[in-house]
Amino acid sequence: MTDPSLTHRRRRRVQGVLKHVLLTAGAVLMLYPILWMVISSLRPDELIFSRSAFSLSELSFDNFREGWNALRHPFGHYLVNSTIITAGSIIANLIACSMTAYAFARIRFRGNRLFFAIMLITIMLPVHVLLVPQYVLFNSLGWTNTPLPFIVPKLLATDAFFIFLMVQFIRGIPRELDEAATIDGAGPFRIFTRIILPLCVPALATTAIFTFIWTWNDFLGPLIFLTDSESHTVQLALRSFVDSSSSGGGSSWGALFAMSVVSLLPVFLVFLFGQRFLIRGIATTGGK
Amino acid sequence: MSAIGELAQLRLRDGKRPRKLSRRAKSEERAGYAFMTPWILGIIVITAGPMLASLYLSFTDYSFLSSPEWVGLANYQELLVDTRFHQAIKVTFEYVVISVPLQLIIALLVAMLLDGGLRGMGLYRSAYYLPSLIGGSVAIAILWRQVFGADGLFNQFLAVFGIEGPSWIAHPDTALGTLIVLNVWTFGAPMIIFLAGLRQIPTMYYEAAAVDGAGRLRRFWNITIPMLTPIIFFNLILQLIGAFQAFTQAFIISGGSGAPSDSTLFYTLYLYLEGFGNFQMGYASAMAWVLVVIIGAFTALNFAVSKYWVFYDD
Amino acid sequence: MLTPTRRTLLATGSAALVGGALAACSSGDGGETGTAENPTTILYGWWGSPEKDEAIFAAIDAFNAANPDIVVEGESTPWAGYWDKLATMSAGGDAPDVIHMSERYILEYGERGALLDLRSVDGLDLGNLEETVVALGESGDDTLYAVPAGLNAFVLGANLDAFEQAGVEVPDDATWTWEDYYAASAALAETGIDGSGYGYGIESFRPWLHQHGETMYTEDGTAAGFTEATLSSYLEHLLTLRENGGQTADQVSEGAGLPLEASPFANGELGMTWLYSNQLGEQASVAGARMQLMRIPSQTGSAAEAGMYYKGSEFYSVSAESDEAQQAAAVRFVDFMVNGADAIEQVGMIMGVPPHTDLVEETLTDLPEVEQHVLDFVTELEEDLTVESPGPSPIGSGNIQGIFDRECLELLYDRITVEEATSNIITEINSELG
Repeated sequence: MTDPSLTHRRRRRVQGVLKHVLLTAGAVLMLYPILWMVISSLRPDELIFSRSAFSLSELSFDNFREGWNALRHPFGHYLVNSTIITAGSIIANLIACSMTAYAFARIRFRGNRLFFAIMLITIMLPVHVLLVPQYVLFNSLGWTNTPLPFIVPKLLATDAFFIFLMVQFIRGIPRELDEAATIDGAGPFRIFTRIILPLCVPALATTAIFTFIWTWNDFLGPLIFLTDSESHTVQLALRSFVDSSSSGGGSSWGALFAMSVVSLLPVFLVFLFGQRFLIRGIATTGGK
Repeated sequence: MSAIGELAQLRLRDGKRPRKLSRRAKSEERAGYAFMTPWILGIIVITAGPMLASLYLSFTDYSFLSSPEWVGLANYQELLVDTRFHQAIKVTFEYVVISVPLQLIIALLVAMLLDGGLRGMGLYRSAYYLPSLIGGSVAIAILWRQVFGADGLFNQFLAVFGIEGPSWIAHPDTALGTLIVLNVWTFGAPMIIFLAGLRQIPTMYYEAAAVDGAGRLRRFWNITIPMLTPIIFFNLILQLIGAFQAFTQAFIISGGSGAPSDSTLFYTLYLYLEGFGNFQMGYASAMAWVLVVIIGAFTALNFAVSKYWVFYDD
Repeated sequence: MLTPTRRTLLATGSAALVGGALAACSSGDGGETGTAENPTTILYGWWGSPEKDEAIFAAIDAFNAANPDIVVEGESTPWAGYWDKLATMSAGGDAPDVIHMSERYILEYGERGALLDLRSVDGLDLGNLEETVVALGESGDDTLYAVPAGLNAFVLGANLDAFEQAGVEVPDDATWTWEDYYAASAALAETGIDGSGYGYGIESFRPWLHQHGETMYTEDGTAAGFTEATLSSYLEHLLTLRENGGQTADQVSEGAGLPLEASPFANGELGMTWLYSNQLGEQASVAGARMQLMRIPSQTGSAAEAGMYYKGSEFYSVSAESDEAQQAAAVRFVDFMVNGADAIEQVGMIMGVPPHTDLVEETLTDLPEVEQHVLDFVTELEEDLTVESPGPSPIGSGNIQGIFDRECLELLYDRITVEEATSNIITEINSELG
């Protein structure tokens, strides 16, 4: 978008301003919930649900102090657990999904299409009916209360979403590049590491970011596979603030909001810094 | 290798391949299996067992606590006459048909806007992604009532124009609409994928087009859209699958019941309620496999049609 | 091999493919009780909130200190996933030894053989509990699957500040009738707030049935036990209340998915609401208003004829899958939670009013005002309980509250008539139970 012919410059500037206005208006709509959440996290429990949700009186950090220490372990403990699982998942997905996607997209072998169809079917089955058999499987392997049920399956390329994603990206890379490398004597492995991976940076970044967010926000998996509070993750900890049973009433909403903000912070930062990799890739080899 | 064919053709084509492979093809095949090793192991060790177990359970009466009892097709027959199941199908289809296209169009438009080199784009991208971060939080149940309740923000906005809105989230006729809005509002994931896709379009195509004197609109229609079709296709398939399986938001906002009056009783929500709430795991498994067939049919159809509009560079 | 046991099935499904390396874990290594050197370890799982977790862990510590031959380990799960997790672990033959139960699931688990008959193992002293209280955890054939951790009652809550502002006198709940209730609600509504919520569903329909000499289920729990006429009269009552300051359908529907703390009652926008007695404290503190519990109105103006009953708010039960030593240890721990002064002191009113009333009187002497009121109310309510306490919900009754929720809301929206709602509710209940 940078063809700087002088006659167009002024028009472009006006367009730029318009774009900013439009984007800012949209951003307000998108930011409202976060703002609401942050303000709620600073208000005492009994004011969170009052109608004047946006008044800024009586703000304090009490909820953060309380929330951090309200559970069996300091909240930092759950952040660490989540970080371990998340980091392992990202690495596993990056390696396994890119390998598999490369094979699906570029290599001719018997069963390619059949395998691809099977892979798609694995995303179609609702996860709820798999929980019991999965629990039995991981429990008999002795993996409950460890990060293994989250990382090992991803190392074995079970996160089909990302394989499919990368297949689509790799198929967008011109085949002439592979063919040129083949003529130069490069084998599939060399083509994969030297050509495909570098050109796939946006897809890899997307995979890393989504794996981060989805693993970080996952509730059901940790609920079933992590029973000991020692191994609990952030999402389990967050839900522990709320007891909505009919006999309940001991919910700490202020603490929930405060710790929700704390747990969103790393995700937001990762996204803020990670998103620049989304716009690399081919752009680095020529600029768009 | 061309498009990833439809299920029906898989066997035929594979079978037609000549028995004897050339040396080159053989070594390529070996490489293929080498790269596929993790996935094949994953299917055998991790995925196949639980999936086959759930398929078996769908032919049984199973309550978690006692052994499954073989009942043949009884669960599937029951689905034919279960009126709540029919309601769940109706709700889910309505949701899929409206929210998927809407979300994709908005995600693509915003991605195009955010693709430029303007200052502060990183911040905008992050801001637009934020709703997707908290879309599954329990706080959404409260927030959405403050927005779409009788005296919520949306009605306050309408009041400016002298319109007195109903409680959108409360009424059985409009509750599903608020969930569709929620889904559209969390368009971050497809937007990001579009952004990454836009960035991957080789610049040489634009340069060539500029030399030919093509305007912006022509470049958009003749380069951006065709080059983006694999990604559009991906997003379409994945959003379709995601919408058919929509669960979390309906669960949170309806308090886990599909309220009001089953108007937000999504397919997987009903499946969950029957399985875990009512101890009918066999029945729930049957529902799950029916869903696989429904989604599978839609996906296969899309793959078949994709030949006519998705453009691959290989 | 059409009906393998569930564990072999599930294990082989995956295990055969892993290469037969996996075998389902088997529990049960025999009956010896633990010693101080080699204690029996048991696991207790409950659903929690930060406050409840702290109290229960403190009680566990007290038990462990006093019982060196047993080690109790605690495991708190958020309510949001508690039942999914318990079902999954039970399916894997891996449930905790002491299981926190809810009235609604006692028979679902018990009648499927997952819960121990607490009378089959020595160690649980039931002598301090009223018979009607023990019956809350008993099946039809007197198997004791669970013992209540706390009691509550589904009654009315009144916002006294709202009454005062409206200049409406708070009715005497010992003698009030439905007419008095409608009148109070209508008077409150004059001031711009809503008079009352409906509380429709099993818990308020039951007293209504008792007032008409009927019961919710048939003796064997396989069908609705009431007549169409009585159900219709109950639905008419909802419509009468709507005319007399009851909430609008929109408000009912909006409130349904909200946490207690965000409800209109807690926000001071509703004068009276139906609630479980132990929910009053939280709402009063959020509202910053004076609140009190009120007995359910009756036809005759006598609270003893209102058909109220105690409900077990939460229960303790023991897994039938645990081995004998663990079961013995688990029952001893349950006994401590029910009869131990240390336990009651720690747990207090968090799970409702502890059923050992004498001990409660001795230990809980320093309660906050609202909790003291709840305690007094629930304790004194006993005099007005004239019907037999309904036992645990029958198998398959899990959807019944949902049926009431759907049909009553449709009725309040005027989308169906009383006749339609009546026949829908009865048909659906019978098909769930049958």
